Amino acid sequence: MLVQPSSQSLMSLACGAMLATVFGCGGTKAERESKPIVTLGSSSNASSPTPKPDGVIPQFRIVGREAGLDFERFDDISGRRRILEANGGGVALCDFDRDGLLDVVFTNGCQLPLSQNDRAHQGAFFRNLGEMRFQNSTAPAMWNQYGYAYGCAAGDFDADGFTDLYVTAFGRNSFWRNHGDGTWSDITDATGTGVPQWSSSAAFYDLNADGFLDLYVANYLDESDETPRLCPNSRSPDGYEGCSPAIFEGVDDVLFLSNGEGAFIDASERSGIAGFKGKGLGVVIGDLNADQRPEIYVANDGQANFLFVAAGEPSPGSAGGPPLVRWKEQALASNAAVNELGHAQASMGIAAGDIDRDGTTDLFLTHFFGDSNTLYENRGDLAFDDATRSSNLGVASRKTLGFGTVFVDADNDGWLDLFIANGHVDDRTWMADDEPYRMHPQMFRNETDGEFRDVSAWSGDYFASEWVGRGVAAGDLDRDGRIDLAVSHQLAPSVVLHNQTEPQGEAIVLRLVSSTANRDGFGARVEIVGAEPAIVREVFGGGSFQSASATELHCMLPLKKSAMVQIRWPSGKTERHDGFSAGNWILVEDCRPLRPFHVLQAKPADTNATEILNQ
Amino acid sequence: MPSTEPKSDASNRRRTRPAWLLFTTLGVTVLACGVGLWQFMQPNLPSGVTQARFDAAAQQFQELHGTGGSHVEIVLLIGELAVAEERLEEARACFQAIPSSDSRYGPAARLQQAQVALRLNRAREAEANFREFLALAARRTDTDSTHLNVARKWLAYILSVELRIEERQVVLAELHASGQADVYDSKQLYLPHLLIWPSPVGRRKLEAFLQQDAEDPMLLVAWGRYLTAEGKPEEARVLLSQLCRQDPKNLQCTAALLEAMYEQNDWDGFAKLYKSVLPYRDFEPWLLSRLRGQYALHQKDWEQAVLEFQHVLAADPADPGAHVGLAKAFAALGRDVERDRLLQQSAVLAKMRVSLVGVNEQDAHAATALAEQCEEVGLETAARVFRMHASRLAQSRPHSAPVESDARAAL
Repeated sequence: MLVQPSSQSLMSLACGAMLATVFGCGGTKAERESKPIVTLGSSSNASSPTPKPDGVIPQFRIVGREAGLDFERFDDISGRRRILEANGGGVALCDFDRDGLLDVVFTNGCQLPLSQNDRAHQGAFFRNLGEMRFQNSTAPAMWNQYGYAYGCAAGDFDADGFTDLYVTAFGRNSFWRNHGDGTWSDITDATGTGVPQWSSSAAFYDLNADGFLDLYVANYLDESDETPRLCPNSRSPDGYEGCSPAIFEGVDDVLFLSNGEGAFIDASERSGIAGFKGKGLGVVIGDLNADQRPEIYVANDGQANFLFVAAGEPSPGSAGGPPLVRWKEQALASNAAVNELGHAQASMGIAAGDIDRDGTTDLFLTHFFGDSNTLYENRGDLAFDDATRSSNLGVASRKTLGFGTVFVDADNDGWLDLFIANGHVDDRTWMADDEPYRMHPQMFRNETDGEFRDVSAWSGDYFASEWVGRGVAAGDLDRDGRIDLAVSHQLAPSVVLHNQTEPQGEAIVLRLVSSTANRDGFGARVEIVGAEPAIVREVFGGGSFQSASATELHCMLPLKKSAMVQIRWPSGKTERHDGFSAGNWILVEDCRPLRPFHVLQAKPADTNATEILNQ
Repeated sequence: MPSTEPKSDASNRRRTRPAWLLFTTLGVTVLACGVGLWQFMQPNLPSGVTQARFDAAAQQFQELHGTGGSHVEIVLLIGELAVAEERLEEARACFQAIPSSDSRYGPAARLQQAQVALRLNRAREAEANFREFLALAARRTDTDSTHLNVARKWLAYILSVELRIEERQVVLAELHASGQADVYDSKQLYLPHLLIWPSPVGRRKLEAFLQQDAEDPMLLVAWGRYLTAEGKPEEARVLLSQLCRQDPKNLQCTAALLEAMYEQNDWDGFAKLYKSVLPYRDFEPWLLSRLRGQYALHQKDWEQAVLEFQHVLAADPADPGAHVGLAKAFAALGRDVERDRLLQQSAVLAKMRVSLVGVNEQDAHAATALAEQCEEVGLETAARVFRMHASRLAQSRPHSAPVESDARAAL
């Protein structure tokens, strides 16, 4: 009658986080045992409702179908729980038609395998009509994004003044040129950017300082749609559970350098990016050590994150090709590869911003259920500290699974707050582990002392509901000086979150236009002169998860209603502008006088965009 | 005279009544004593076992073995039949009724009782019986090694659920010394902190344990740690504070409470409690040693942090958090060469941690890859053990025992 303990039964004890899917942790609901009542002490006090915090709390209102924003992503979610179905899509906020209003783009999936050539599902492009009204303009734009797309990056790669779009996908990424007449065309072949691997996030940035936008593509896993890896689990209602990413091979990321003539060259090998076989889900590019050169930070799922740092100046390209920068991976030495416990976490999204107003860019990463998200606080000189605990962002994330995330000054107090879209990768509600599929999103208010406070419960109906949140992008959609959000969901319509927070101060929104080919000003850095502590904003490439936030910079003006602003352009040129007044959108073009942008608020929907820009 | 007769009769009756009563009382007493003596002479039946069932089992034993069984043998049979029929409480009572001192069946009864108790989620009883079985077996030479390993593996299981990792190491070491460790045992022994704790499955089992032993301090300390891990450090503190007050010398409790404070970034509370903790000593809870390191880092006492994390690594050379903490301290001290070495090792450990889930009794290549990674970070003994596992698995010999000599040497 001896009962042999099997390795499997013992193994299951050690399951957790992303690894759990492999060995099927947990019993079925029917096996669930009643919870013990630990009566020692007065622990009930600890679970009593938290009182509403003092002060202004960010407030958001859901904007969706009734405003013309009618989109629900199709992921071909099946009972087989293929890993391809899990990651959902992204969203981009960008003024594609140059009418001064941020438009919205959602990527879409399709039926798998790709050989079915599904034409019933495509990405959606919504023109912003102002006052939080949107119009689906996908068809007139001829934006025929078919296939199984995930993320997107927005950038004016050809410097024609109209922002173009790169879409990551399983199968083949696509590059869409914005012709400026309201239409798009697929220029993937012409640009040579049709990465065949499963790509997740991407970022535009001038990485070799030649003035042209380059492109970094984070690739995820090596997987097949025809013969997907499946993980049977007899206890699951459909016989399967989602496979752990741990059982898949990683894939090298790709770095494309612009040749300045509309095409790109794959410089991954020569630049030192290739060979790491990461499992990239998020990427952000910015100047993390204030040396006026970019660094590339990649969030890898279950692997150490990457921090690529330029090793020296760009060298002239061979045969007239673009200048080449050698990149050195040094996340470990910078304490940004693994968390304080030495764990390579299931990194998904990245929020970047100066949360403590010390003039350096901090990084926040979302992770798996059961683990905690991680805040890497920038100490300067490319040294980061795991500040998860000291910021109060750890405990609050143990029971969530985060994807898209952004730092935004939601209440206009000059301090960056934090939004996180949550949702599980796999519906495990049949298990007994209390892992929900749909989850509450989270809003954390920056308490200005290094700590964040979860104010989700008081931030509006959206936060009271549960979603399978994925991509998130930020931008001021109604141009009221308050940053709104757009969130892509799985199994529910995607939404815009209209910021209705009672502002604590007024902000200006700066749209930077560089005179170089990097017109979007990726890498530009703005500082409110005299603000104490510093208010610094930067135009990052990438960020969040599979999404592209607006490149406009949102700056709170402290105390005074006007301020002097210092802008450091990607070229290195620095200029100061005085007399910035609060409550305005400002168009800043280097070498040209400032132009207020506020006149566009009264724009009729059918006005020619180009004319408006030239007013 | 006539008057005397009745008097005489009455007097006689008065004389005979006490005698009758005396004899009756005496008789009843003798009968009771006899019954009691008879019962005393008869072997006890376990709780819930009727004489009829005992008799039936005795008959069954006779049919099975062709000879009558002793009382102990029949009780053991009833227990085993009860296990098969899922009447676990009855089985438990049967095994419990067999004393350890029974030279023939005592050890078996302990092992059986332990397993049944575990199925009934009586963790303390199960642990005590597994340990007693192992102690009894150690004094004998005829114990089936399979039984020993079953006991060790389940004991390790209980200790895992209760997060008593240090104690588990001793059991796992014995398992390896016996040559019966499988790949998973080796992962637990050599890479304890690369496995993810506490897990949802462990939590659920601990809940079940607590249903049976709601006041058990070890279970409650573990429960506090699960609460902390689940993002409920405030609840953990309430529970653990009370437990620590009841037993201030319980270092596991103190460490768990410090961990909750660490998670909350409550360094003031941490410092206050930490003052009551004696300096480092060998065999203290690993968690405490790790937290000593984190506290030293927080205080920017880099030399002390080096010392504390070195203690951690002496106990578990594969602790990834200690690598990162020590690297941070070395960096602050300008000891860049040591820092770089540790960071490289932590990168490998991070890879190992993720790939560890794929290392099992079915995959020789995975065991080989793990061995290579162990070599990369200087875990030579672990590397040798995993290579031997790989070699064994390549020959399709799951659960065999080729790791004996090396494991013993390592331990």
